[in-house]
Amino acid sequence: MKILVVSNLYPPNTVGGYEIQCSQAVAELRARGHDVVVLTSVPRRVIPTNEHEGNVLRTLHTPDVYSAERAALRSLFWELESNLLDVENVHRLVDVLVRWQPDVCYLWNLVAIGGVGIVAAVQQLGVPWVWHLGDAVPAMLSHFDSGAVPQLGQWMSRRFTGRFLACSRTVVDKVERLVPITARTRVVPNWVAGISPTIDRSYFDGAPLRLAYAGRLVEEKGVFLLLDMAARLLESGCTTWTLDIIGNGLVDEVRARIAELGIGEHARLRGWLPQAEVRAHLAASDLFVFPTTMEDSMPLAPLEAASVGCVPVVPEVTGIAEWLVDGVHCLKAERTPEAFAATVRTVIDREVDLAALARRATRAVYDSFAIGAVMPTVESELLLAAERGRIDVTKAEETYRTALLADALLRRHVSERLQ
Amino acid sequence: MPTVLIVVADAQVEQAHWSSSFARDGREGEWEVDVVDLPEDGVALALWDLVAAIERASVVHVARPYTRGGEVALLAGKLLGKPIAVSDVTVETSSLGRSIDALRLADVIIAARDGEADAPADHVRLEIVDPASDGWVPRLAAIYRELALPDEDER
Repeated sequence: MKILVVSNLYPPNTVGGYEIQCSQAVAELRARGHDVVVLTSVPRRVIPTNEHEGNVLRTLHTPDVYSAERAALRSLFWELESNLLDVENVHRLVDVLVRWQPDVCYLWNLVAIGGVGIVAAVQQLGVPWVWHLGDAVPAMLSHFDSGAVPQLGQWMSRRFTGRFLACSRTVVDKVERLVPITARTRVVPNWVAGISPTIDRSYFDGAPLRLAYAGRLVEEKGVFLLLDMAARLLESGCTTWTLDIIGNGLVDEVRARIAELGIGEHARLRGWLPQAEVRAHLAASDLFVFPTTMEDSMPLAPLEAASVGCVPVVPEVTGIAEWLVDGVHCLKAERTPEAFAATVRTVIDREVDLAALARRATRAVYDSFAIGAVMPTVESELLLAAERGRIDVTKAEETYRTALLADALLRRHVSERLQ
Repeated sequence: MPTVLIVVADAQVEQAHWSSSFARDGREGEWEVDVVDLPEDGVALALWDLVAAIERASVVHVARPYTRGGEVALLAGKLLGKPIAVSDVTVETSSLGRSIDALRLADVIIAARDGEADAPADHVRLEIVDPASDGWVPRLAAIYRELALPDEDER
């Protein structure tokens, strides 16, 4: 099967787990004998030239939606290119589709590359597609001019006739608010690659409890709530713990908050680390404390942690909570500093058999979330989609002309809106 | 009963003959006819109403595609995958359509007389339907029927 993957980002040009999952899927599909080409954006930083990368076309334009200054950069034109339509990207896409003629398009995160236009072009050319939702991307794309555009969501729902793979019900529910897709969606979890059913490691035995956090240092991932939790532990007289914080983002703000709360002797900022080092770090930690918001679709980090015997502590309501059972594979707490501190305290006070919990978590991740366990479902969806249609190359000119017309009309609308 | 949606863009330029006549005479036969008048301004506000109307239609007929409203109607018809007829191409109040050869997005161009439309005939059908002649309504209805047939078959 010839598969064209479209993703806004692709390793080593990454922001989060979505694009890492994408690259793992590509590797797995290639290992299964499929011919896969990746179309992604021009990186905004120098990345090593890799002669083995092969068939990764880094040609799509992006308005750098993930830059730290993004809030200041926002404008209607920026939003137009990011969410609705980047006509140059449509041209590049149509060019690849016509020249290579894939059996199926496997779409990933389309934010920041004019995602609506990308899907509309694939649709207009008759290329079968499957859209992998690691986040509520269709709903995110249905925003323009300071708000949601429900009519756009309805139109996408009716006209975009491909299939969806979503990493959690949480994601489906978020999409569903604007773009009804449930009837065409299959829920498949995020996965972890390169893991074992059992691991050889030590577990908490009363020595200082090793807490870890790995992820972007941003409010929505709960990193500041985590610091407040740490402060609560100290306030309650509990000092037998350390906290390692791995990741980049609001580093200066986190550092300042650590100083403000007086938790610097326990909490350490480790900065960004390569994936292998993160995993090694987690393998040497006891609890993965991750008070992310319920908006977080299905974070990978808790799975990574569980795969190496580091027990996740997660909020009761979030995408990951759909998949791991409280007291069996993880610990769940109300998303408050106090509740998280109380849960950590139960471990320090030896009220929880952490080793048993960790072993069950490791096994569960291996059985249900190893990439080898999930990929057959993905592959079958791609095969089913590929049987439903075939690219109509005679539609190429029409597709690009439609995009040109849409682009001109949208730009006219924005220009007049700004006057 | 199939529906043809006749979108009359920039209606203030002159009264559209397609809409009023076909709406009156065409529905004697097998067609339901909806007519939408698009004003020259306020097109953006009208877009989603237009989309809703086009979704119900089997065929979209855009009168005056080279106007701002006509451009929006063309795009909406295309995005909804509807067969598109265009007419009144001599009325031109916006240069955008011509700059991207937008008539090629239509399935058929309907002209009232020879030479009215310099159509890209190598790609798009050109049909002469003179509304001053006898039998123009059944002729137009036949064109709509041909356009609608593949769509009906798919259903």
